[in-house]
Amino acid sequence: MDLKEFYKEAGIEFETVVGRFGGAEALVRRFLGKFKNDGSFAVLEEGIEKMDLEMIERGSHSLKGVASNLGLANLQKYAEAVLAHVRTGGDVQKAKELFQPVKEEYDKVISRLENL
Amino acid sequence: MMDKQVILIVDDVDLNRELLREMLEEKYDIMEAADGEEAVALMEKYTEDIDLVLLDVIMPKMDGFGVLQVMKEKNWIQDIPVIMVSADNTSDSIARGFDSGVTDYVGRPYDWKVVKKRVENTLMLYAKQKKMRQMVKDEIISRQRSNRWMIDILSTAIEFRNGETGMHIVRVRIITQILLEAYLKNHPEIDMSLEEQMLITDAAALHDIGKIVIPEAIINKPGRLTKEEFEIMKTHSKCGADMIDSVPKGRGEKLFQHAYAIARWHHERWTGGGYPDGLKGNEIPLSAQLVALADVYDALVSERVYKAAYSHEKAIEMILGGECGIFNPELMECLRQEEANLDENIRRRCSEDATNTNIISLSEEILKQRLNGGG
Repeated sequence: MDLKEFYKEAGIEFETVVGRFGGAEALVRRFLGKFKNDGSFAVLEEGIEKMDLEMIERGSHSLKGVASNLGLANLQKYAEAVLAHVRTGGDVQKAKELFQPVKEEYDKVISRLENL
Repeated sequence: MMDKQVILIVDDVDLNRELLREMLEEKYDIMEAADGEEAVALMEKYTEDIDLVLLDVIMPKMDGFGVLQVMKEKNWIQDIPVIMVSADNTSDSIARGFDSGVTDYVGRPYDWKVVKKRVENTLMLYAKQKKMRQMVKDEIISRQRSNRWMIDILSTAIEFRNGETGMHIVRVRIITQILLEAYLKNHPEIDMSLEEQMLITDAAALHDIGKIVIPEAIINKPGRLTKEEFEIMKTHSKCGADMIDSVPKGRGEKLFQHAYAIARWHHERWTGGGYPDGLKGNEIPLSAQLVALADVYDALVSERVYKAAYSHEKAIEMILGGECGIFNPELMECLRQEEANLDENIRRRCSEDATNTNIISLSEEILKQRLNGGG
């Protein structure tokens, strides 16, 4: 899989992302490589398991930011949904439901990254 | 070759910090902090070195607003610009950021060009500001030094006639300062600015300028003065005050107020038996009381036409024992507190280095006060 396809799957145009990095494709690759070590998803997942609203908020916020910086548009969108829900006083049960698409997308992104 | 400017990146997400570092490390030196507490610790340690902070909002332990609060309290916010990094683009949080002293905002996703330009522009703006503040500070320092120098030279010239040296002026000033500091320490309810303390000690140097009108024969008489001669000698306090008063000045200039009080009333006595006005107790302004005591002490430990020099211990003994008249018991207390190190203290403060340090730190305080909207 090449970068163009990767980003199409991720929900964004490659050109958009590489533009933000000043045109440096190598840089984009390098930072994508760091994504699997980012702890934001883990915080969110743990928050869901523990039913801890504060953790859920923090995790989804961080994940949203990282996803946004890396151009992972779909992941960003799903994380944002969880965040918005929690911030408007939503309950944990619904948060768990909203988490599902986040998890699915996250797993997909990770596996695609391995094939890059 | 100019050193690189230093940017502190604060974000709990490693990847975000790394991204910003990547964008900036070519041109700048980078420091990192993973939460508010770390950021504050770094700023505490490297206050003078950090040129800009890129600050995330949501962080564990202490968030972005917590950091801004500390920066405001410690006055770092004046010199260190903060660019807030926020995914939270609600106008509320942006307004809150600006109210807290944030200079600019950068949103996510980070755009290489935007980040670099914002950082560059902000640094340029602050560099000018920093330069100006340094200029103002240098001016204040230079002015303080000039002031003190002029006063000292003038007073020395006048005291010279009666065989005093410039060191007498310096010592009276220093002793006044030491006693004043002790007095203020005992009275925390009195909030006297460093600036005013300095004015008092500067004014102390002028206490005897009235002596210029006293005839040579009287001023330098080795023996006891006759009653008539003494009456003439006594006029030096009022004359000195009148001279100070005759100089055109702005109304209420504090230096003049203190100089006038000191010149006129440094021979008043706590019990009311002094001159020229027979003031009693705390009718005598504090500044005059301090100089009176400083003058007496210095006279005792110095050689004069009419006496040899006493030792520091003897002088203290005489004053505390009431042999030189009755003073404000609170000032006696100050003397007791300071007496052990007084001799050493005076010697140390007389040195040029000590004077310089004092002027520099005072000027910094004055600058800080003015910038914060104080007097």
